[in-house]
Amino acid sequence: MRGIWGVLRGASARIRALMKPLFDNIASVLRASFVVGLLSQGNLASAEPPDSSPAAPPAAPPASAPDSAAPKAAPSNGSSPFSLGRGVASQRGRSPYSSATNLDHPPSVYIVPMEGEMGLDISKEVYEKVLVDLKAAKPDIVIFRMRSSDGTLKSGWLDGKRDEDRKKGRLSPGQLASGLQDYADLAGDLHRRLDGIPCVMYVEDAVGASSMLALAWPCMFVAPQGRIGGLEIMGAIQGAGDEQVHAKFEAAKVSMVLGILELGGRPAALGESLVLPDRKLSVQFEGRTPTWRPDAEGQWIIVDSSDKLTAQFDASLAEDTGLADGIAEGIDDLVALLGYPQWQKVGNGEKIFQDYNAAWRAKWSESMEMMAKFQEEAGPEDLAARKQILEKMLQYIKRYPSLAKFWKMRGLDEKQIKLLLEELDRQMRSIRQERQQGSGSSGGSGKMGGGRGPGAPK
Amino acid sequence: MKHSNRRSLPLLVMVALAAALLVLAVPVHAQQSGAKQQQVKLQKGTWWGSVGDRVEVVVKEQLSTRTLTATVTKIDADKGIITVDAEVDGKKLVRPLFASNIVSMKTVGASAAGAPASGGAGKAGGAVPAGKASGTAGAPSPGKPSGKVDAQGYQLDENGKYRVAPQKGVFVLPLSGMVGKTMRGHEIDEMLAEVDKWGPGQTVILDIDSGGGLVTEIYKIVDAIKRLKKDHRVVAWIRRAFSAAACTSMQCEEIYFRTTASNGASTMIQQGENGMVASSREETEKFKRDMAAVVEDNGYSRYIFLAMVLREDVLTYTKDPVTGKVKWNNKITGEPGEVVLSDELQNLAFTASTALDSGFSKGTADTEEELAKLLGLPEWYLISDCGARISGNWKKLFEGCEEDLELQKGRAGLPPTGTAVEQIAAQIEILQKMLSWSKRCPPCFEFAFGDKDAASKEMTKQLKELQKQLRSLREESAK
Repeated sequence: MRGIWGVLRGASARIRALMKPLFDNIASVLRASFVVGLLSQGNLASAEPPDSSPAAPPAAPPASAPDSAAPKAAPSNGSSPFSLGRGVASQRGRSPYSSATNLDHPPSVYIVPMEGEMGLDISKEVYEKVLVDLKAAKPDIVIFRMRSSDGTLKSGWLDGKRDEDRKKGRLSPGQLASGLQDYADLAGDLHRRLDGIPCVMYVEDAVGASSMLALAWPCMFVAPQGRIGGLEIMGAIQGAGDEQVHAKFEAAKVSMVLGILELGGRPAALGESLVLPDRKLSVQFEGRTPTWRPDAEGQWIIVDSSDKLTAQFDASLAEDTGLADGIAEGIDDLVALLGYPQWQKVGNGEKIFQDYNAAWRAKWSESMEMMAKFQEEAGPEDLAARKQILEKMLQYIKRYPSLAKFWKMRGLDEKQIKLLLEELDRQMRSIRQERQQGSGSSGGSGKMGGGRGPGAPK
Repeated sequence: MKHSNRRSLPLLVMVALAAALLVLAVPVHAQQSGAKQQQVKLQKGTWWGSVGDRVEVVVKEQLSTRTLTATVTKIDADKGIITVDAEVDGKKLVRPLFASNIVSMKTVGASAAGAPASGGAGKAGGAVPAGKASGTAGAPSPGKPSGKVDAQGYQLDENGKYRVAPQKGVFVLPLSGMVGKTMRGHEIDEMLAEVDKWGPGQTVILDIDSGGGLVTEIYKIVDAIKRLKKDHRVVAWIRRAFSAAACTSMQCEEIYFRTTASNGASTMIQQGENGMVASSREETEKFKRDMAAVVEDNGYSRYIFLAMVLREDVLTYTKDPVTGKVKWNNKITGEPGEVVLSDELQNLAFTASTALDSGFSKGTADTEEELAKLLGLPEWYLISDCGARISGNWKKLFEGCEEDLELQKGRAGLPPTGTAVEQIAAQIEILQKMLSWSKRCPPCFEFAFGDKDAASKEMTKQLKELQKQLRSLREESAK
């Protein structure tokens, strides 16, 4: 199905490029013509009208209405390049387009990076600091720059990736996915605290958990090489052979993902197909307004007709379907697409973000080396050094929440370290006493010193 | 202004002075009557008043206390700072006072706000009819302020029975964590005891953020909410409510969602040999019968609850195109406009939009101000932070106990090292710490060790034996 879809896409792209000038002016008249060659099943007469209900019907029952967010008035954008329209309109916050902000000066733009690993580099702690600076800078527009790829777009990779990530000292996507509630809280918090400031998401890459955040803002642009997808890890339920238990956890996780996507006005059909491999997704258009369908019957674009793979978007598919407002080659291009010929950067968001993460990452490298050393065979003479390692680890995880999170996912938290320290103290005390008593015993075999500790690379 | 027959002061000047004072007094009065009443926690009790109030304040300054008569110029309730214009040692100055240093504060002089009273003052709220508060959301307590205050410094009504709130507001009880651990019916009952002090007709918001927990606790929570609902309006505000927490939310007749909120997935599960499994059919059917009836009493279709419990239970709804009334179905009917929320392969969990569209929720609110509007309140006003204290105190105690018990268990599992005396002393210390938690936080202890009485009895027995061993070892080494 993917091969056929690739051929269809290529054909449709060529057709659209040829028809572009005509479509600009007479979109509704041309709708019937575009059906030829792109209709896979069904026909216009039987297609149900877009339902304005925001409810989320699943794929199976044919009686379900196609899912659609209530289309509100899209921002009037006379100067923006051609777009197939917004699939969902801004449901909260303010539009960043020049036609909406009506600024009489070049906009001041605050850039908020979202780079690295979700939950570790992209964390609520760093944005607490960024938000303080942002509020002081009082920008006209906020641009979130997303560059995070902690997942993969391939399916069936979970076990292999886990080992590979562990060797590289990364958390596996599964471990990162466990922070789902934190991501929901982060997205909701950013929305709430930036309510009133026009925001736009710029996706340089968003694969894995980060794609949820990428879709949490209605106004989104994608870089030419940008990708959105890899959310299947969120719907993966491991260790639940019981059907009822599986359904329970799946419902819980999917609804949490959909909740984040609702911040960006994204409909349930889209969200479910991003998370669940057995969901399909297609798009049909009413004029320039796309409607997402939880099946493969949309007469314009079939995004996902497979029941084994989740939906994925590259830049052009994101633009064609209206998932993204457009493709932008950098921030300059993005601001121009919003309708501003000039702009000025304000604030220190990038520096704050980079400094914060550089600081804890430096300690992360050090902690990885220390724990690797801790895992080595040790004798009585090494106990003091091992104790020093643990004390330093304790100090670091108390100081750097992201580091604490990383090690906790590896099985080493504050409590574990305290236990290991106590064990070491006891051994050291025992050895000292034996030496004082003039005992010939070494106090133990070469394998001693508080255990090997969990979580370090093997 | 003192009227006198001073020959040296012409009558015209006196009249002019009086007029000037009146002009000065009016804005202050207007400010008082128009200014927003705020509540500030003092060292003991609270003070209600507004900018412009003339107050008599006793403030602690290092080792001494000082009494000032001053005019309030600024109130920063969040930071606990009240700025006053006062005359100190013959000099007029503007002075910020930390609320934590204020021993007592009362509004003096006549004002539209109310009679002076130690530790409190405030605008009188309107009278509120007793009974359930639909339509009287957050209405102030019955009666007018009497000028008397209770032991906590809150102003009492003329009957001396209920506390008086300066304006319509709410109470919030955060319910978070595992049901049965940090989210319990006990705290709801504690909240009821506090809220009752303000009289019937209060609005209590249950701020729910939980992934679920024990089924047994659900019944306790159901009963507790029932008691709370008898005289007050109880509203659920969801951040996350899965499993047992979803059942809890449906005890409230009003549910509001945050945009990222989810609610549902209430399958009963338990630990099996190879991971989690659904509870037995018999247990599940009993649970369904019990809870479905309760849910229906609260105005929800039982189909909603059933679809949350077992995946094979279907839930759809249709809306009357004219009236907008929702009709719930437990099978796919194929009617026009039917929305399928859960088919036979899915378990039901609402999102904010599906909840709103189907009428399961009354609205979506991400901030307190938004919620206040949905509740029909003029603005968000928290009458008392007792809910946060009740919930926070319990959570802190339980989580502290849980963490420490885990640590002690870990310590007990360490390989024994050191002399015999040291090993026994370490074990004694561990047992003593565990036993202290059996008294400080019995529910947590019970969670960790099962039967609390049997476990503490066994531990006490072990402790005594170890203490005996330690004594005899020390006696031997002394010899």
